[in-house]
Amino acid sequence: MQLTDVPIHAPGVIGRIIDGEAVVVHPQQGKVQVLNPVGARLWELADGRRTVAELAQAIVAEYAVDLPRAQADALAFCEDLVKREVLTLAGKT
Amino acid sequence: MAALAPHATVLNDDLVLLRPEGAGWTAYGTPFWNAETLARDGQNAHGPLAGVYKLVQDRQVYLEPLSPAAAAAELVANCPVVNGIPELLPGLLASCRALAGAIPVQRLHFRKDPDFWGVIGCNSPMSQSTPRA
Repeated sequence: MQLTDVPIHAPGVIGRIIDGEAVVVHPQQGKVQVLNPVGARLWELADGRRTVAELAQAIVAEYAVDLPRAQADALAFCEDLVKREVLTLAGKT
Repeated sequence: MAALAPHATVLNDDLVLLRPEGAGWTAYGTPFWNAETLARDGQNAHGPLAGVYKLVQDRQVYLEPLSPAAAAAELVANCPVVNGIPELLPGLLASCRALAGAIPVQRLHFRKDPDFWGVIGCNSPMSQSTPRA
């Protein structure tokens, strides 16, 4: 996973924002995940147009966190969700 | 839970049907019983839904609140078949969100005795007829 990667919701996976958190359902795996508010915001932003770096910049603008930390967290978050097949990388499917 | 409530009417010990009716939700029994409690088959009943509890075996008996998202997620996770069909997921998520907004959805930590009745705000039918030591 790199800051230049462009994450997007994996096909078939559906998420909804509820009171700031996200409920993400992966029907093929039969798994349901709840993402905390920052994770929910990253989920919203992962639209297949923004890079991981841009996601981190958005988090810096909205939360009290510095850029290196936001980049590390965004990378870890996207990498984890890609492993879980909840996110995929645009252009790499 | 069904075994701990011998004097109660059990809607079902596997699948129940929930539907919005009037200002609240109603729980309906279904014919899909587990083999262990098949003797209750025929208790065809329904009633107003007061709460939904995710069961967690524990040594203590208490309720654990859930955030609205966690509540909706628990409901979605416990809707077999439907939650595996992508085309039905948007409707399922909307229904679960509506249910979680209308009815308390919590985790019920319980041990294998009837004490949970007091925690969920009901008197045990057993405790009404049989004084507890």
